[in-house]
Amino acid sequence: MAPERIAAPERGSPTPAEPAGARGSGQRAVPAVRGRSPAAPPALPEAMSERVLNRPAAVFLGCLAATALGVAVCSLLPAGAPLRLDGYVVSLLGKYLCFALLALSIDLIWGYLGILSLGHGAFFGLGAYVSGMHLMREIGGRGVYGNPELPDFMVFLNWERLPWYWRGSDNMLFTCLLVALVPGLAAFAFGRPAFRSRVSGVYFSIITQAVTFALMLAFFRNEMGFGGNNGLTDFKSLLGVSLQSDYMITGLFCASALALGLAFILCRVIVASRLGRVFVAVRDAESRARFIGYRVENVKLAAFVFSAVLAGLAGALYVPQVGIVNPGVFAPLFSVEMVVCVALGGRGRLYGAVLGALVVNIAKTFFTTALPDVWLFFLGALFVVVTLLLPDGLAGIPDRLGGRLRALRAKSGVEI
Amino acid sequence: MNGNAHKAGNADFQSAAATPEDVRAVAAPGNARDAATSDDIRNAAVPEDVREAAQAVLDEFAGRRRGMRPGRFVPGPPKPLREKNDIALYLEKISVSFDGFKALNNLTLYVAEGELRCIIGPNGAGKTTMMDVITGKTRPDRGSAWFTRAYNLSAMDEVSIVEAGICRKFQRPSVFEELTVLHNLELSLKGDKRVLSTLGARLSGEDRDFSAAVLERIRLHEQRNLAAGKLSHGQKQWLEIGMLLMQKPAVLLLDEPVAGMSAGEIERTVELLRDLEGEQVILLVEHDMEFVRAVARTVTVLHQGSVLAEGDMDTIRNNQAVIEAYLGEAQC
Ligand SMILES: Nc1ncnc2c1ncn2[C@@H]1O[C@H](COP(=O)(O)OP(=O)(O)OP(=O)(O)O)[C@@H](O)[C@H]1O
Ligand SMILES: [Mg+2]
Repeated sequence: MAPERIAAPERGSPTPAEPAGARGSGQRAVPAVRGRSPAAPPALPEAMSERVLNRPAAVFLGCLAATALGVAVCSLLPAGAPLRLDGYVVSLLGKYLCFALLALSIDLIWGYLGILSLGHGAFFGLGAYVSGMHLMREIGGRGVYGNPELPDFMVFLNWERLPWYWRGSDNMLFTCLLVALVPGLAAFAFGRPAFRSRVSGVYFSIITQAVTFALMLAFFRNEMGFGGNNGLTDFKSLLGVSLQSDYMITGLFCASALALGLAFILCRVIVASRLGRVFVAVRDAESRARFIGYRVENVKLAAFVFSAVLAGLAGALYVPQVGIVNPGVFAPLFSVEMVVCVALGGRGRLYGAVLGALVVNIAKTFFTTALPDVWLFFLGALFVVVTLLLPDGLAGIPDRLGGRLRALRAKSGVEI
Repeated sequence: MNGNAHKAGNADFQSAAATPEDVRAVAAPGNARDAATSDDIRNAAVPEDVREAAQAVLDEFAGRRRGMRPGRFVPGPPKPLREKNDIALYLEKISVSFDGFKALNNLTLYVAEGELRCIIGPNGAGKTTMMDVITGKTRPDRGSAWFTRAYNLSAMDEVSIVEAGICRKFQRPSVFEELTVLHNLELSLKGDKRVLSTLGARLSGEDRDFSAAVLERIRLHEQRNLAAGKLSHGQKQWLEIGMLLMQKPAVLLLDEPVAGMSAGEIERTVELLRDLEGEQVILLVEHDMEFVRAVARTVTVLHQGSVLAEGDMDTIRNNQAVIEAYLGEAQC
């Protein structure tokens, strides 16, 4: 039971007009909101918003710019120079950057908003196919069958005309537009009903897996008009420049680095804004967020669509650098692998996702060439070790070390 | 869900449509429509709800006769059954059941403008469920909830209800633990909460002053840059109340605001509530009787999903039915 010392109110006469200070058993006056109290409350010195380029973000962007510049310069050195990077290596690095961008897009919705998409490869794949279609059309008459209109696989299937959805794919600008639009619209079409009916958590993740799996099956079919099993390949040039030329390879690498940098800045802008705090609010207490007036489904949908566009962009840049896109990009395993990258790097930091993607994919390249059978075991073991020992991921290591150090210092301070 | 909402929205019509029989039964002999007058119905010895429904039918027809072509019944927009100018919240004949268990059973409750109303009742009486209905979290199976005569709550979604000015503190304190106290308040600030506006939102000087005032009022000025998760239980409760105040609400729903508070904190909460009183409607659910005693003027007792008694604290205390309800609870 509560103590008796709570004063009973003067019954009968509610006295809203009475000044606040006059009530309440001689306690000090509660400053009132409507200027009823004489003393104004102390002002707030705080800048409410976080800086977009805080220290980790600036460090990250600096590292990215320095690395990209270094790689670009080394790749353009004359053949035989000691520091020259081979085109193959540059393309490989460019591919890693694309995966990093995909991981970044996953971290934006998973790390901040708590939406775990296990099918983000689907949006990556859609962007990849859009860009692959353009590259296919650029082959023109240089294909095996020499048909200036139809890609080789269509000639092989005895198709007479381009399907309607291939129209316009020879136009670079239109393709750029579609690279953003197709994944964005797909995310909208999928996300809207899902978020409206408040599908969340594990159910949402499972549905995203199912969707990407369904897309994979669909793209395997020859009748779909996307090259079936083999996908789209044998690309020759982009904007009239051979894909094999050093300038093109370096250019694509730089474009990937630029895309990653810009996407990172955009994500930082979002995360540092009030919307970013709403993300965290939705992640941690969705119903509280809804009951202070945020339409949670719209917040989630907007983030999901933006993230899908980033993923699509990553896919579009990936294709010319690896020279092929096939239904494998829709494989659930690929999407899961990317999520593991984010978890490994440390989610909810943006740069952690990039770090994770780089580490995992470099390891993957090493293992798939040296010890192909061990790769999946290694990935699994890595994941277990990180979740057990490093809940904040690789990017959390400095923080943890800092915390340890501070604790040690405090301890020794006490002892002395 | 949505279908339900529509049904609930029209519930008074359903009851109106179903009641000519009742009217006739009450006002016989003679043709119900012509013969029955308000007085007949008022004087007849019938249960309260039948009487109300009959009255509603009569009022309906009286309204129709004036402005409309005769012989055609055109249902207008739904309205609360009983309309009065100074009523802010209408809860009318609300029933909610979970798998056959009736959490609310024909609950009728009116709260006047500017009133501070305490709701008490044993565990499981349906207090939280009642708040769920008001805030749109749960759709009533039957009955309807209105906020003034303008908002049919049972047909609105949660966010529209918040926008109408009804804000709620949850039974379990619910704040954004990873955000600072100040950011918790910032997010709650009344204003445009659409996605793009939120992306570009800046805190104006006025908002800043208002936040400072609320911080002072909930006594968390010192802790404003602390993560909300680091606050004590009582401070979290205050922060949540502060988040409601940031929205400049018209109706405050407080579900057990002093649970887990120390005696001193309770005392300050009493002050805070008395300070708020009259500015907005406050609906307060609480188990702590001393606290209720300190702030309440009118107390409503819920039991098994409906109103058991209503009145001031002393009347309630001596009400035999209330004593039994609480004793029954204690024996379980
Ligand atoms: N979502 C639900 N599903 C099933 N039963 C529910 C649900 N919500 C509430 N109930 C039941 O409805 C009854 C009323 O619950 P409610 O939470 O409204 O009680 P209360 O008066 O707030 O109790 P307390 O004082 O313990 O908070 C309880 O018996 C509860 O078990
Ligand atoms: Mg309750």
